[in-house]
Amino acid sequence: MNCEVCQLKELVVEQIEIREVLRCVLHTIVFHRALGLVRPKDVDCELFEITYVQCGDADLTKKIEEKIDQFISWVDKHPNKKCQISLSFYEVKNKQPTWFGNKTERLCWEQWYINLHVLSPKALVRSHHSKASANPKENSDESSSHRASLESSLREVLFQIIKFVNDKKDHIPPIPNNEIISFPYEIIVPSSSDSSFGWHTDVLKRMLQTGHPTMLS
Amino acid sequence: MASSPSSSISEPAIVEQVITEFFAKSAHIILESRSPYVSSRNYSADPFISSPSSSSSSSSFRPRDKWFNLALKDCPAALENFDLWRQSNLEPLVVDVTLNRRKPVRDRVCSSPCSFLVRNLSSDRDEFVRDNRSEKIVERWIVQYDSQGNSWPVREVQASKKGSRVASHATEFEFMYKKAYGRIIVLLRSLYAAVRLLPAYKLFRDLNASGQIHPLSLSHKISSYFEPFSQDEDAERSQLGFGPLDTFFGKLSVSVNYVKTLVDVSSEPSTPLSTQVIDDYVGSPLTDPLKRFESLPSAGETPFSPTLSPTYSDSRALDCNVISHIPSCSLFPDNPVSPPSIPLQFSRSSSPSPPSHVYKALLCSDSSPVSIPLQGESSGRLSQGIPPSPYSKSKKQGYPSQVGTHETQASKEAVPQASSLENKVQVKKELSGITGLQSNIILPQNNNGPSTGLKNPSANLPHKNSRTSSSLSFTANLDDSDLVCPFAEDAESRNSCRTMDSALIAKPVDLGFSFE
Repeated sequence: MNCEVCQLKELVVEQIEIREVLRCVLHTIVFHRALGLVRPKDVDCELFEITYVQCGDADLTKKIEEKIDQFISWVDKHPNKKCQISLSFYEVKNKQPTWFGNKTERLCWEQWYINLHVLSPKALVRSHHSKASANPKENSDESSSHRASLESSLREVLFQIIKFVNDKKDHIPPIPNNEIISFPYEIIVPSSSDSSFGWHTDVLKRMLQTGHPTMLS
Repeated sequence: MASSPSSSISEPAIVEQVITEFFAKSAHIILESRSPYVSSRNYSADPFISSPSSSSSSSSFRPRDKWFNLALKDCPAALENFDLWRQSNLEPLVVDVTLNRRKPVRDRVCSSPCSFLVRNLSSDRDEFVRDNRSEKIVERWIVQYDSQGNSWPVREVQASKKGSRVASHATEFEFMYKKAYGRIIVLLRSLYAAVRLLPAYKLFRDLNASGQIHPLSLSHKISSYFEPFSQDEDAERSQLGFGPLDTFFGKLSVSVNYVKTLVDVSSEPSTPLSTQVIDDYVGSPLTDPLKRFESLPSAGETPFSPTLSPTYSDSRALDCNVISHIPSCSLFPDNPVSPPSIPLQFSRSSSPSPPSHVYKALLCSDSSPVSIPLQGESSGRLSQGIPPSPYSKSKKQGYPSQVGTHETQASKEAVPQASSLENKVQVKKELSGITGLQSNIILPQNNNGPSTGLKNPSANLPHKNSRTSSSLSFTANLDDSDLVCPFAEDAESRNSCRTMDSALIAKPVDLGFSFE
């Protein structure tokens, strides 16, 4: 089975914007893959003039919030870094029964990479000072220009998701159940254990375990 | 698990129904977030809020929600013309979303028929305002089905046969049907998300939320044809496409041509909604039916008939604080239920009040109810006396005549209605003696009952002027989910109507899910 990969355009965010940006992107992706009976819920971003859609699943919302919390606490310890959050959809299949019992394997059929460049508050202050803008008005202008630029980039990313979904249709497996969230998914954020190498150690671990990037076991 | 369709005769009907529902859902998605009357954003009856369960509860969904697994809110605007389009034999569905700008020109001298008498609250004087409108199509949505474009990959068909030495035609059909159905689900999800990212959505949102009277408003028009944009217009536009979606029965696609940059509503001059409301207008809940109209030079003693619903009047009054200045001839036309000209000017208003399309839909639904074509009817539906291309220019002209006929029949057939009709005549006589004020209050006389989907206390009034139980229930039982949307069929009723042994049409959601 094909594992389609989508690398989303990098978003330069301040720490305060992380939660909103991630909510927006993650919910939009999952909405396109939640193929069960959904009553969509429109959500207006607080920081941006953007409305995104949630599929109204409480468990999903909870899980996304947990992962965002986890990511934000990681960012606190590792400021001013480029990082990736991945969202994978997979199928669970039973392997051939062996002498050692039955085993299941997870076959990943789609992976999304959300690329963020998180600016630390210090970096922002430095950037403002370097431009000799002691004037608070200029600082606020700069801040609003950053916000406008991020809003535009975020909108682009959302359209990128829509475009990808439209372009790649053949790899979606048959819908296995009647749940809102039709397919198992996994959100991976950088964790403290792989702080020095960032998120990629997690991928390496999985590759070592499975031998193939599309099999997350 | 869905059963396999065994009758080859039913397959075209299934396909036709899927295509029709695809068009309906697309139109619904678009209009839900462009039609000012319906604000999906104010939706409160979200079952997920009350039920923390992560799995969907089928009891909280209506039959039409199950189509493509997407539950949408009621949207009278989507119903308005879709029934008519349904007769158009799967022609393209074109939805033009128009930005209207009203440029009032104040004039103390009287005026053209399209002027309004506006009470200037600051000077407490009445002024005529000529309605100078400019219109611009900000979005053109085209939903298309191309039956010739069947490029369903051979490998897909082969895949359906895989693992089965003797793959019956029914199995093959079921496989392809499920595949196509799943793709449509995804496409509609994309459409739903994208509609909220386009510039017109912000405009729609701002206009809905502002609580101001804006010179700007959004409206829409549904048709099956369009005139291409000029080069100048094209230069400021961009295009976004969904699909084309290859299915075994052809190609489905949705595209939008939209203006990239729209005006910022906040930069436009607007008038705050005044709290000064004319509360003694006809049909106001505050008005005693026996009360004399103090604001009028003379008023008869005849009480108003309770059949005059305040549904439209109160909201209109709130909307613009406008008292229409209408020539007396148009105030009470000979045909008491013919929609006069003035309300049609409001039909494209962005006000939160129910626009006249609800009125038209009401009339339409009552005078010529159109149901989703059943299998056996698919070929015979054009014989219902409805023009095959209802989106011709004569379409709207057809409303008054239909309504007129309808009313005449009603008065002949329904003896119990005589009293209410007499009341109306009395009211008409009474008001024809006074000025043309408050015409917009009376115009939607609403003989067909409360309008669809309106949350109004009057909606619960007993509905006297109905001929058939079906039409009554459609218009009066607003919360009846099975009846609000005529293009949604109840699965059970469909089953009972059909002899088909397949569950494909009745339970589309099962088909979408059960495939493994």
